[in-house]
Amino acid sequence: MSLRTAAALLIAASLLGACGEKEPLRIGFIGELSGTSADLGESGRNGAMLAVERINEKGGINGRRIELLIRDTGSNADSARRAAGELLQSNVLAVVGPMTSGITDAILPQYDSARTVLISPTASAVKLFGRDDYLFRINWTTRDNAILYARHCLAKGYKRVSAATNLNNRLFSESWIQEFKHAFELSGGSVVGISPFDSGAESLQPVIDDMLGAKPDLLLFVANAGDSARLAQQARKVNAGIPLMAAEWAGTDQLIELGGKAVEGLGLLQQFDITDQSERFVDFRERFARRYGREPAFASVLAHDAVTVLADTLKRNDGRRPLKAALVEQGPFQGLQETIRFDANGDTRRQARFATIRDGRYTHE
Amino acid sequence: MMIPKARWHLRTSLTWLLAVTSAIAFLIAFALLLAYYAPQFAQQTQRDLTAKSRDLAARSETVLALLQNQLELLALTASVSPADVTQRQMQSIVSRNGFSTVYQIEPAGSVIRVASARSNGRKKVQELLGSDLSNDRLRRQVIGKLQTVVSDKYLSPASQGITVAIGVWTGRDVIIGEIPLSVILNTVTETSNPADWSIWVSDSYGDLLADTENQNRVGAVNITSLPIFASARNDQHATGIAEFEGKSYNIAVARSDVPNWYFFVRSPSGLRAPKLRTAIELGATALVSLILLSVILAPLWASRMARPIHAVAGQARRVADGEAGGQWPRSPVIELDALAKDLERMANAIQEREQELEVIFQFSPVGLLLTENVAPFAFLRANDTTLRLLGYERDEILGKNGTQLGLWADTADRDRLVADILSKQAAQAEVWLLRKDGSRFLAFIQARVVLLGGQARTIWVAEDVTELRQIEREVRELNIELEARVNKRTEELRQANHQLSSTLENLQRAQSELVRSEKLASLGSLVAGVAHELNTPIGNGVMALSTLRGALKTFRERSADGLKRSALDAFVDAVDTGTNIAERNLQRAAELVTGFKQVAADQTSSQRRSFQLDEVVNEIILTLRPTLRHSVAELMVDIPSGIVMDSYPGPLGQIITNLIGNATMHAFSEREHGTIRLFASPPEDGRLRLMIADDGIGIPGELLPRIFDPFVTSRMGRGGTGLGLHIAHNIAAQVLGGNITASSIVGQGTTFELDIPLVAPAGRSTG
Repeated sequence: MSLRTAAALLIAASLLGACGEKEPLRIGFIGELSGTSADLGESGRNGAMLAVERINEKGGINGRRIELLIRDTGSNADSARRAAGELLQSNVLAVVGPMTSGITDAILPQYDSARTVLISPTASAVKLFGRDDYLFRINWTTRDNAILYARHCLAKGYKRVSAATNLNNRLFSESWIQEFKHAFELSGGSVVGISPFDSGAESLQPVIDDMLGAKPDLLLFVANAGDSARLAQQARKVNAGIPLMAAEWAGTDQLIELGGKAVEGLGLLQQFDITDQSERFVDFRERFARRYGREPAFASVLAHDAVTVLADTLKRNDGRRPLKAALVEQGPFQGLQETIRFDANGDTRRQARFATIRDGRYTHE
Repeated sequence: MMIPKARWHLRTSLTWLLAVTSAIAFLIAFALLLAYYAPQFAQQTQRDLTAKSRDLAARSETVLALLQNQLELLALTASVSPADVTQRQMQSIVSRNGFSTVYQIEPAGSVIRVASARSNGRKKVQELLGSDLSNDRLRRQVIGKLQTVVSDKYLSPASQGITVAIGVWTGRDVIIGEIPLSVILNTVTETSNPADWSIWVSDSYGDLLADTENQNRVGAVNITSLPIFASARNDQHATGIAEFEGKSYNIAVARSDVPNWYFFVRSPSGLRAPKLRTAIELGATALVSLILLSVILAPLWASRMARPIHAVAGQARRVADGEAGGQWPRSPVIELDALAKDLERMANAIQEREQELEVIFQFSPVGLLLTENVAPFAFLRANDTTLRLLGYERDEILGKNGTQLGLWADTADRDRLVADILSKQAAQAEVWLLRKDGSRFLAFIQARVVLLGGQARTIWVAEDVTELRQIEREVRELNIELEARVNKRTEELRQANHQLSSTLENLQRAQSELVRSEKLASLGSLVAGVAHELNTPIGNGVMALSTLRGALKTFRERSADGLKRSALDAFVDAVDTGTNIAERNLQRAAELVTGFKQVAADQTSSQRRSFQLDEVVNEIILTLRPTLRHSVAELMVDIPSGIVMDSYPGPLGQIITNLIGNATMHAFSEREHGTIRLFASPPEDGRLRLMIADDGIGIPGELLPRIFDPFVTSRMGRGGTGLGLHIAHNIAAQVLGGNITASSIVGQGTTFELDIPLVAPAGRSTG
């Protein structure tokens, strides 16, 4: 009897204790924190965490702290669905992530049926565009990117492009290469070869051989940073001078770290401006570097924006409207470098510019 | 009042009692113990955790130092030895359980040598050869510091997975050795830890490198947000309680210098703490055992307790069934013993009452009989009186009915009685019954239906009323006789009464006659007195006038010869004197007449009027003067003036006359002189007391009480009617509304007191 009383008292005490401070707001982050896209996942996570910590430092949302629950999707759809389900069961208000289109597509059904908002900082496959679902995307679509890439290639004078596409994020890479091919060939270019590959492959040499076999002007890697670096390394071993480009997916520090000299001169699209001198961005960059010891990647910026968007909505809405509607209606939101406004389907537009790796850094042309 | 139904056994109550009591006692003791020991547990846990974390930090430092040494040795070798030696050495390093991949990077940044432990993925690793790692972070750090650097979470260029790497400086190149995280994990899980402990290893950015609880957290979870992390960053050690994923833990952190990693050891805190948990589980087990024990023991004890109760109950049952004998069991338990004793007393009391009733039944002076309520109305019980009445023995009549025994002299009686019983539940009748020996007697039978023990029975009461009826008859006859006699007597009495009434009438008439004649007599004396009195003044008047005639004659003679002054003066004087005397006397005579008239009027008419007492008294005295003159007594009157009465002066006067007359007549015989005083005291409360007192011979004692009765006189036949005082008494009472009393002392005198109201009551006058 007294144990029960003790337990009851304990519960009462903890409730009282909890009463002192308001209940924290629970947000989830789900990302590819292990596996081949770990760099993306990690940089996204870091951006999100930084944003959450900043908000909590400033007093939270309407006096309530944000509690960020982080889950790893793993490298396949099943583990992703499991992790996604865990977050749903933890009664999160919304989830930021995942970073890749493939995983996003895999877990979206769960979130649609749970009517929980999923904000993916970076997913961009066309398939995810224009649907009335619970997915909000900070990024724009592969089509938009691919069109820019096509234009850029043509501007640079590359007419023959050989592409390597990563099978592990098929949704993204297939979408990407199709959009690129369409746009590129519409303007007179031609995609001379598409070589799908698996990140787990023992050796990427065959892929490079395959790509070079088509005698392209440009090698285009539709892969993550790690794979793009490997491909670049292999390419440089065989052909020191062929121009290289990578899809925006690869645009992290890891590309430079793992690519070394092999990626010098590699061009890619950046969805944020690393050279931005605005106070907000410089502050963010410095905090990021202090906290994580590296430069923020586009995933970090977008994830940061995703959290900002979510937090602003929660603050403005304060529980009055369902979150999905609020996100659409309560915009525009001030991101790190852009204002973000969602259309009815939860899509938005984004600025992007091309960058080249020079001296181990992304620089704008 | 609702009596609860008996629903459970003693053993159930006892079991509950025992179980609950021991449970409560145990729980209280347990809670107290817990409260005392819990903080000690917590402290001990903290100490253990701290020790562990430091131990882990130390061990990791050692392990990494070892690995670092290996790599540094390799670096040394690489700087001096030829390539193949270095290669071999690298290979041997990776074959030990340490580094998974080792590669050498030349100053331009490309990988010149690789050795890998992995059996699969070899090819991938071999691809590293020739790759450019000039931007590799670790390499940069080594080149920057020109000394060994242990990385934080390191993205492997070879596997793209997360590892930890050590980079060493050969003097020219950088050699990097990758350590799989499983190695880190193994160092921390080597020793046996309590199952509830979990260990984290994180890099300086808070990214987990190892998690003994859930490997999926590695790379995912960042624990910078835990406050204890910040404390450890500053102090190198920290302990405390922290919340992670909604649960609270005791955590101890130790930070190793090389590498700059944090080692967290945590154990659930609060109620989930393992030691506490164990204690609670033990407690729960003990509690369950206690309860089980109670459940086993209590029924045993209960049955022990119940045995004497059953014994008492058994004896009670025996008594109830009417079985004689049996012992009331005794018990060492005081309450049960008292119960047995009380039950015994109760049984005895009931038996006594039964016997009482039995005695009453048997020895009742009337015959009592109990029969069935339905035909054939067989006799069930009979008392002794019944047997005596009917002359049978008990066993001769029980079980039979009246008809069988030939009780009824007339069976119609029985039928009537039975009919009444069946219809009205009661009956009574006087019937003739036959005894066993054939003799008859008259029985008064009453019957009533009752419920006895749930069954309907008829109670019959029979009394032998033969003699009674006989006596009644005689009495009745006597009564009739008596009535006749009474009637006769009544008639005689009536006649006697009638006679007496007429006699009484006569007497009353005689009385009134006497009263009237007395009145007349007094009136007569009154007239006599009046005449007597008048005589004097009239005589004086006559005399005066005759003298005056003489004077006139003289004057005429004297003045025949001429009027002389002296003769005129003499004549005038004579006229003056004469007329004066005559006037006075005539006036007096007139007064007397008026007075007498009034008295007479008063006496005869008995009219009521308002008068002054003293005036009336004086007038009466005046009439009495003759009487008084002949008496030796002297009359003294003292009546205050101003007493106004509204009464009957006549009768009043009559009384006064009577009393004074009596006094003169009777009071002073053989006396030479005496005094009669007539006085009244001032009225009080509207009443007046008029006293007539003499100092005569008094009234004898034996006469005094009867003095106001009629025909009481001391001078009967000598001139007294004996009615005077009686009349006075009547007048005083009936007319004046008062009363008259007499008091007397023989030899000294007599006083009559008349006590009357000033205002006489309305009503009758004496006829």
